Amino acid sequence: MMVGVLNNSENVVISQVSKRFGDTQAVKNLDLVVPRGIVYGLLGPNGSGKSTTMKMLLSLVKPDSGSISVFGIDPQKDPLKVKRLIGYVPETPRLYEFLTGWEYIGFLCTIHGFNPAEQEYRVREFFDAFELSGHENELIGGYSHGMKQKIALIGALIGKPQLLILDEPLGGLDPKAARIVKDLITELSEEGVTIIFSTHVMEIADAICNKICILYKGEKLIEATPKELKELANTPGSTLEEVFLNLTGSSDLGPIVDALAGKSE
Amino acid sequence: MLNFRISMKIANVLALASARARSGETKIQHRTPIWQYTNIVMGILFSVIAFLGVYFGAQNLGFDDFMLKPLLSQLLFFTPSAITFSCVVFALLYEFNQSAFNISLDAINWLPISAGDYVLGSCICTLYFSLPVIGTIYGAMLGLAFLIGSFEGWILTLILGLLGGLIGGFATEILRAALNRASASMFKKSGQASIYGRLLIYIIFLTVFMSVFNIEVVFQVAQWFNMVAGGAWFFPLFWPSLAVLSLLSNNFTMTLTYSSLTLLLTWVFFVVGSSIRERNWVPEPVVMSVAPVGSIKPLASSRSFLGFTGAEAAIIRKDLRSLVRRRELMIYLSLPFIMVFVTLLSNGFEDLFNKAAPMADRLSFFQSPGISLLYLTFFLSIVSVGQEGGAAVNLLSAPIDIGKIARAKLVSTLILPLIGFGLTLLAIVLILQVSVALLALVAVFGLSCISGTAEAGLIIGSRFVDYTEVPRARFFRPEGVFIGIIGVVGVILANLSPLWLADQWGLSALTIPTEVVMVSAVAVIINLALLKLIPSQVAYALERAPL
Repeated sequence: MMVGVLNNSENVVISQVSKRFGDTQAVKNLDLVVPRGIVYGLLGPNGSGKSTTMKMLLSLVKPDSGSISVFGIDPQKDPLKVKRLIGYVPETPRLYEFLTGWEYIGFLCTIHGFNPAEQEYRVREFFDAFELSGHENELIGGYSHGMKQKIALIGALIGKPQLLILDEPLGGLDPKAARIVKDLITELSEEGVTIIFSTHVMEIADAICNKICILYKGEKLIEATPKELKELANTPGSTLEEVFLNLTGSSDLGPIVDALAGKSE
Repeated sequence: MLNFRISMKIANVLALASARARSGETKIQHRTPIWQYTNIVMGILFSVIAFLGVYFGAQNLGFDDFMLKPLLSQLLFFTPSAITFSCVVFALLYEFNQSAFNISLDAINWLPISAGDYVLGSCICTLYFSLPVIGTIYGAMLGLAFLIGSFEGWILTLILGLLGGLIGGFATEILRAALNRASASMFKKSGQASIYGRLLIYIIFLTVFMSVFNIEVVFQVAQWFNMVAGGAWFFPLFWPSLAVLSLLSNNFTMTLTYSSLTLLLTWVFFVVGSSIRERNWVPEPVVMSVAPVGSIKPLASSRSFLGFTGAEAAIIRKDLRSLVRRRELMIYLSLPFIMVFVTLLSNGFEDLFNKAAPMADRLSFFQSPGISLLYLTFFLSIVSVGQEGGAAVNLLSAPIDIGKIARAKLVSTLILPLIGFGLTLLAIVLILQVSVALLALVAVFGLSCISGTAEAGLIIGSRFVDYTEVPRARFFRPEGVFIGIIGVVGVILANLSPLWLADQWGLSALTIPTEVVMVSAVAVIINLALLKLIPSQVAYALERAPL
């Protein structure tokens, strides 16, 4: 596995990037360097800027200031070149519900410039692995949330991208599919694919991420390996969840839970 | 078993009716402004205007009782049944614009609302939408009633019309709940044929609906109904009208009988609707399979064709599938069929085959298919970008430039109108046997109008794009339609301008080939200008797509 800071053409680099939506500061002076071939976890509570950061890498959202480089390419200057390198799974799968799963993957292959006929064997393998076989000819509108998520994942993985951007990719997946995705992420990173991954599930981040960045209110709180993060808690055996809650200032949830449960002090 | 005391809580019913009525709005206001009761205000306003219009209009035009009485009688007995049918059709149309998937996620499904509340609330909501039309009809009838001093029929019609509306609404609820159940299993088994079957059913349904509400057709039916209604007692939906008919015939026993039967029918429909709703509450999203399970088609070819790249071809193919598979878009596909059918019903087509009739008259028959094709082109193009909805992110995250997306969108909106236009030209050749020069003029003019309409529609649809999908797909902002229609009329007038100018300048002796050249020159200018604008407008729309 290649870990470490290389020259910028080998990394995903975000430098002093800010983005504001109206009154909301989504991302503020963010600096990140994601070396090629690592699994990079973006963690943070809702509204912390994870999805916005990911969308800026894809050129879907334009930063107000700062610069971004994806393997040496500026997404704003050459968006098509960047999009050819990226496989993306948004937080909520947005699929064409009037297409069948099979037609949708064929559509994605074609607009990404792959020959669908050459990809067919791989698509079949993905359908089998995710237990979607038998549902190929059904319209996506009738799929469950988990099935849609699987289709979105196949769509992102099918073109063997150099950079995978996965925004909460395990949401709605059954345990078997979740395990396959986790193992696949590890394997792809070993093959040199860079994976930027957001999740709320600390165990998953702990298990598969080489590096974790915790975002809070659009700013980077900390960037470290899972092991380093746990050491920061200064308590033997502390979990990544505890570290996360400490860093985001929400460690003492007792009074909130009591209030919600209707228990007054 | 239904608990009517609980289920009929009026607060729940009205809240539900209000939620459904508001569901088409883009945003919810914190305070309810007066215009949110638009339909109530319009219903009252239209009824007053109709009343005054009929009352003073008929007096000024010198109509007497002898002329007005039969008209009022026809309207009085026709109205309750008409309201029943219109409520059924309207409610079904409203439901057709919602996806079963979105309905199944509707919060209303897990709120503590009984089936009776839901059914009555939904029915009130349907009536709410029809208020302007109902208000106009009752206002006009009241004007007539005042003129001839006969109110008892009007009052009975008002009550029975309300019951008729409730019957229509409850009938729709029965149909909806039953269809929720039936369609899921039917479509699961029937494969590709089910998609085209559904499209066909939808086109037939809408064609019948539009024909029923075509004023000429309505009058023909009204006259027929007047003759046979006396024998229609076995059809319960005619009972309200038969009650009015009996009153007008001074048969009070039958008036009371049919009125009581109508009341009973309303209650039966409500009970049945509520119990079916209770058993089949949440609509199952239809699991539709386009091919038998286990059969695998090759993944779509990425080869380019007709000068389009593989990616462009993929978008075109996707948009065409969207058109025949999405319930919300089928209404636009139905437009040409509706307009041609209604024209045939209203005008007939005897002149078309009369070789003695002037060619201009015979050719004018094709105005209706021509205009309907322009409607089709306009609506297909205006929805083209907005129909992407949240899935626009698939195009945005793909390595395909805006120019190609715009080209694909334009072509996908043009394919069906051009096929329709080709068939129209074929019919002109076969039936009218026109000269080659005249055919060329019609072809150039038609092609330019269709392409210009598609381009204008795509520009307007992009500028006024609306990606809203829940609770129902909107595709474009309403003001876009008005501006778009003005734009399309401008395009057609510009295409007509060489012929009009030639006529104004006394150049009527121009040969048809000269006219073909003039129209072609203008067509090229218009189309080039519009084509230049499209990519920037599509880019504008995609920048606003939900991410």
